[in-house]
Amino acid sequence: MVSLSWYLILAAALFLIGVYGVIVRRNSIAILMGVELMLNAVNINILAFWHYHTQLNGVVNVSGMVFAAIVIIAAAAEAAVGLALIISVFRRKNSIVAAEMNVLKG
Amino acid sequence: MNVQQVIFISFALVTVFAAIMVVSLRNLFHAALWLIVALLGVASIFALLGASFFAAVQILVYIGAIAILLIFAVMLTRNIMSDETTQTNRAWGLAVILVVVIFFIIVSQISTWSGFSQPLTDLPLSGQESILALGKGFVSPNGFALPFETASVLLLAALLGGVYIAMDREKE
Amino acid sequence: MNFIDFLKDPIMAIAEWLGNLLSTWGVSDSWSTFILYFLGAAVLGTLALLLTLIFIWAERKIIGRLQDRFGPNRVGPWGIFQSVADMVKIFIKEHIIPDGVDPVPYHLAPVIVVASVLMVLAIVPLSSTLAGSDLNVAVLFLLAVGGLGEIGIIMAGWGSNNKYALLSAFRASAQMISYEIPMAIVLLITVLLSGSMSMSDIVRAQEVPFIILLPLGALIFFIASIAENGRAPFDLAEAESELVAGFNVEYSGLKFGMFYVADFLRAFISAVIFATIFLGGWRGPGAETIPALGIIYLVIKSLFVWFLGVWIRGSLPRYRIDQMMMINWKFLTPLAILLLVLVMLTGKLVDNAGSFIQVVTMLVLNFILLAFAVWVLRRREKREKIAEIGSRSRPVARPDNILKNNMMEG
Repeated sequence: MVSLSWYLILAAALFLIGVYGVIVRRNSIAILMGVELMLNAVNINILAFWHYHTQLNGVVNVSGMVFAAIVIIAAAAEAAVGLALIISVFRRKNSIVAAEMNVLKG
Repeated sequence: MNVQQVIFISFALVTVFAAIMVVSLRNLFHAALWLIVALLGVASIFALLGASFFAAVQILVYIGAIAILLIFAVMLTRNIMSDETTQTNRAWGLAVILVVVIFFIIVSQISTWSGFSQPLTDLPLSGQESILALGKGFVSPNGFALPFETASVLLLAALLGGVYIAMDREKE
Repeated sequence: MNFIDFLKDPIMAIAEWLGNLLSTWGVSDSWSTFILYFLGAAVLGTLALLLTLIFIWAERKIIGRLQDRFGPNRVGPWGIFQSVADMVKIFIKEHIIPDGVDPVPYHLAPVIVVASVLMVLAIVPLSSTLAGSDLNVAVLFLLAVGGLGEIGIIMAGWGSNNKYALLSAFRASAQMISYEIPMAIVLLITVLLSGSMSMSDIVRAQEVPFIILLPLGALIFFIASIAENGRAPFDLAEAESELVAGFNVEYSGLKFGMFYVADFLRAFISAVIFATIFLGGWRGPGAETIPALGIIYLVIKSLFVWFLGVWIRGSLPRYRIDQMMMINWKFLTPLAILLLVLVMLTGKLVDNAGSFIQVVTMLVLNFILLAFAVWVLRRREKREKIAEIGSRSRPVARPDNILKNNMMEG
C-alpha cells in the first residue's frame, strides 16, 4: 500500500529540483521550466492531501480539487505571459541570459 | 510489494530522473523534451491518486499547450545561447548543498505529523462523483464560484497581455 | 460454458478462462488483472496495425474509382496483396539517417505519433461488456491524446535538421492545436446531453442517437476530426507539391511506414469515435444480450463514416493555410460556442417535457443555427465579390469574359 509519506517525499524532491533549476540556470526559458516543475510538485502535494481527506471523511473534499485546478490555471497564464515577455525582451536586447536583464530602462 | 507500490516507484523514479535532466541539460530543446516526460510522470502520479480528471487535464493543458509553447519559445530564441557556453552560473555548488539540506529538513519535520504514514487506499468513489462535486463546487455561491470567475478573468488578461506584449511593433 | 454462450461473447469468455487459469497457478489477483489487461492491449494494438493494411488497400481502390481509374489491381485478385507488397518493400528499405539530425527526437517521433493513435482504442467501448478501460474521464483522455500527437510532429520536424521539415511541422501542429477547440466544445455538448464523461455512459445514454439531437454538432466534429487527422482537404502539411512531403521528408523505410500507418489508422479510429459518440456505438437490435453483435454494429457504423471521409478526400481540393485557419477560428469555433450556449438554454427549457418534444426542439434549433451560419457566409461572400470587382482597375482576362468586347464588366 502506498502511504501518504511517499507522495509527500516525491513532491518535496520535485519542488527542490525545481528550486535548483531556478537558482542555477542562466537562460530565462530554463528558469521558467524550473518554475513549471515547482508548480507540478505543489499540485502533487495538494492532490495527495485531497485523497487523504476524502479517505478520512468519506465524502469528496471539493476544496482540494478546486485548489489544484486553480494552480493549473495560474501556471498556464503565467507561462504564457512569461514567454511573451521573454520574446519581447529578446527582440530588444538580442539576449535571453537572465543576468543581463538588469536595467529597468528601455 | 504489491502492484501499486511497484507502479508508484517506477513512475516516481522516471519523474525525478526527468526533472534532474531538465535542470542540467545544455541543449534547451532536449530539456523541454525531458520536461514533457516529467509532466507525463506527474500525470501518472495524479492517476494513481485517484484524481483521473486532473491526470487528463494535466496532459491536455500542460503538455498539449504549455510545453508546446515552451518549445516554440526555445526555437524562436535559438542561436543566441550557443551550447558551448556554460549553462549554470557560479552558484551551483552552494545551490546543490542548500537543496539537499532543505530536503532533509522538510522530510524530517513533516514526518513528525501523525498522519504521515497513513496508507492511502482506493477511494470508494464511483464514476462521475468526484467530477460532479468539482463542477458543483465551481459554480455554487457557497462554494468556489468567486475564485473560478477570478481565474477566468486571469486567463483573459493573460491572453490579451501575451498577445499585446509579443506583438511585432515595427510592422505596424 | 456451452458453445452458444461462448459464441455470444467470445472475448470475455476467453478472458475469464485465462483469469481462472492464472489464479489456479497461484498468481495474485492484482497481478493477474495486470497481465490480462496487458495481453488485451497487445492484441488490440497488433490487430489495429494489421487491419491498417486492409484500410490502405480499400482507400486506394476507392480513391482510384473516384478518379475514374482502377486503383491497385496487379498484385493478387483485385490487388488485395498490394498492401502486403508495400509492407515488405518498406521493411527492407535502408534507413537513411541524414547528417546532423538530433537522434532522440528523430527516432522517437514515429513511435510517439503511432502511440498517440493507438491509445485512443483503449477507451472505445467495443460492446456492452467489452471495453479497454472504462475511464470516467474518457472524453478528456481523447483530447489529451491528440495533444501527444502534436508533440510527435514537432519532434519529427525539429529532429530532421531541415528548414522545410521544421516549417511544415509548425504548420501541421498549429493546424492540429487549432482544430482541437471545436472538437472539445462539441464533445462538451455531448457530455452535457449524456451527463457523464465516460464513453460507455455516452453510448448507454443514446436511446436516440446524438446525431439526431445534434446534427450541426456532428458536422462540426466531423470536419474538425478530418482536419486533426491531416487528411484532404486539410492536408497541406504533407502536400506533395508544396512542402515536399512535409515533416516526414527525411524519414525512410519503416520510420516513414510508421507515419503512413498512423495517418491511415487515425482516419479509421476517428470514424470509430464518431460512431461511438454520435451514431450510438455498439447499439442496435439485439446488441444488449449478444455482445458479439455489438462489435459488428460498431464496425459497420464506423466503416460508413470512414467511407465518407475517403469520399471527401477524393473529391475536394486542398485548402491554403490562411483559409484553413479562417475556417477554424472564424466559422467552426464561434458556431460551436453558439451551439453550446443554445443547447444549454433549450435543454433547461424543455427539461420537463416528453422526450419526443425534446428531440424535435433540438433538431429545430440545430437547423436554425445552420441556416443562420449559411446566411452569414453568403453575405460575406457577396461582400467579398463586390469588393473584388469594384477594386479592379484594369481589365483582367478570365475564362468567362475572354470573348467579350468590354472586358471591364466582371
